[in-house]
Amino acid sequence: MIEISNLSSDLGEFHLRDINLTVNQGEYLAVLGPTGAGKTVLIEYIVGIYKPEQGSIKVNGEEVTELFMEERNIGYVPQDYALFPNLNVGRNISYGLEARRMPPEQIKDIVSDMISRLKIDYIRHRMPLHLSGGEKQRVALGRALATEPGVLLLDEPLSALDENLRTEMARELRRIQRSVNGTFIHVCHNFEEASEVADRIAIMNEGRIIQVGTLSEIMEVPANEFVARFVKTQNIFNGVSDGSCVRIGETEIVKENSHTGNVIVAIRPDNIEIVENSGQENVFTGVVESKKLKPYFTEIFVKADIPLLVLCKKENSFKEGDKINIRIPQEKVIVIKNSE
Amino acid sequence: MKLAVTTRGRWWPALCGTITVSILASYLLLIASNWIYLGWSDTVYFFSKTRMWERFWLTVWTSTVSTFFSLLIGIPAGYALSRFRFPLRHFVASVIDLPIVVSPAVVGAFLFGITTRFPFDWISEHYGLYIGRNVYGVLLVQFTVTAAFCARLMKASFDMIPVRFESVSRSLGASPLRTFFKVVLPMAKNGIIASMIVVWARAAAEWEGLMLFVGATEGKTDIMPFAIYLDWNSGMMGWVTSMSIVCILMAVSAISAMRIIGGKSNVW
Repeated sequence: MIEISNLSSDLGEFHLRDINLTVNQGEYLAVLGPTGAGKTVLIEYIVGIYKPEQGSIKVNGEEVTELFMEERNIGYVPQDYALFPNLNVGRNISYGLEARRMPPEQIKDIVSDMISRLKIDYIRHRMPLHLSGGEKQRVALGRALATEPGVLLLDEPLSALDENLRTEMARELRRIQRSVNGTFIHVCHNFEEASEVADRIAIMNEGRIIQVGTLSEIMEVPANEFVARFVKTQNIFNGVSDGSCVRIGETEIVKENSHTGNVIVAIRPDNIEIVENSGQENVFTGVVESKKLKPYFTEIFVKADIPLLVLCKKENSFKEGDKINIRIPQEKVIVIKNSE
Repeated sequence: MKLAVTTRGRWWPALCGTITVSILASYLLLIASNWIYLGWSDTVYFFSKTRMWERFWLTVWTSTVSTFFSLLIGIPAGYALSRFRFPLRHFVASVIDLPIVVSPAVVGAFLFGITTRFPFDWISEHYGLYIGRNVYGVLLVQFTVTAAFCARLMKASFDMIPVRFESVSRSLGASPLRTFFKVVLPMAKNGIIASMIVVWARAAAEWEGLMLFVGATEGKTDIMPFAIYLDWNSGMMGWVTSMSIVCILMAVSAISAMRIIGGKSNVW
């Protein structure tokens, strides 16, 4: 378990502002944000590369803020894995155990256990230069997990892999995390990757944590427009709410909500339904402006009173210029207080 | 347009190739002229003389010892300059670079000034270790000139190793010292060896500083470049030429070693 309280610091170009974050034992947290959001800097503060100007970091209840890196018991896997090129796979995995001066017999047992758990027996004597991306990742994980760290930090571990391997390795990471019941913090900028691995997701921007929650919490109740855009809620509009409906230009959408005045209205494209009849609540008629075929669905751009992106099943007979009725279920409309 | 590109494509490699071949030819001609001047039988004659090999071994062992001490200073200094951020870092780096930029003659004159004072005079008086017109003087000059050079090359070697490796090592529980010996040094190995060869070659070629501080003493301080100077003054052109050939062979060996080892480390 790791608890970060009021962590603030300034590294010139990068800064962290009042970071508060708790990751429970056995939990997998993804820290998600655009480039320059401060994700890697946060990792570097947690691992101990930098000392924060303010705030505290506790691992399993023990204050580690002032400790040196080697005293923190925090595992760290950087983006390129940083396998020691002068040591073979076995020696890379045993490195941390040797540093802790464990008896050779115990080191041998732990390394063998880790190697079989990660299914890398066949590369035990290979040098890192001769490993594939996926193999390197497993060795880096094995090296970090062998010392049983209180928390494991993964800095964009999948970014160097191609898309197919990335999905496969994301599942592998999840499997390993479950098998060791470890506390993992995984930094990335890819929403699909985060949703593949994490129990909870923390969204970061400009050195701050904007929102922490499960995938569905973040998708259904984004904290602000930035989060809504980041989780690919593509239909986002400025509107006005009176508490029972929201008005976007001339379009009025029925939606019970707790805000009045200027609001941000967000509608996920997969929550919009194409219906036959127009006589229902929140049904609008529009024209298919364009269609884009994707691997598992079709993106349809509909020009109604407001322009909307709709996702529907791959097989559909709509053509450009066709008139269609679309329904926006009230419970799927997201209303966020516009703070600007 | 296509014709212009094709034409440029032809004359540019041809120009570069001609310049390279000209440089190579002039150097080969220089070496060959020395050899032709000396002749095969004279080469064998001079190479069989003890005097030649005494000078050769003096050059080899003094350069090796001064390189060893330069490494002792250069490795930690290069690492500190590469990794640590401290006040006046750039000023310290500039001072360390001084012997590289300043003529070795200035270094020689400077050494002459300080070796007559404390603690050198005290060491000389109490331990009989006089550093001046003897082999210790040779070592001191070689060390002073090459230590800075060594630190600069070591810094370049360490700069090429990403700091992430050290961060990972320390996160695994290794101390900074263990990290240095188990991760940084092995990763910098090729760079260090290549740099060591450059430093050794620089020490073996030192002349100006020795001229001022040590002076040329036959049988005591006559390392190869110095011996060439001595024999030139005496008009012994056979010796000059044969020793020049040995110096060239030493240089070719050093450059080849640097190419082979340094190529792997990207230092050379």
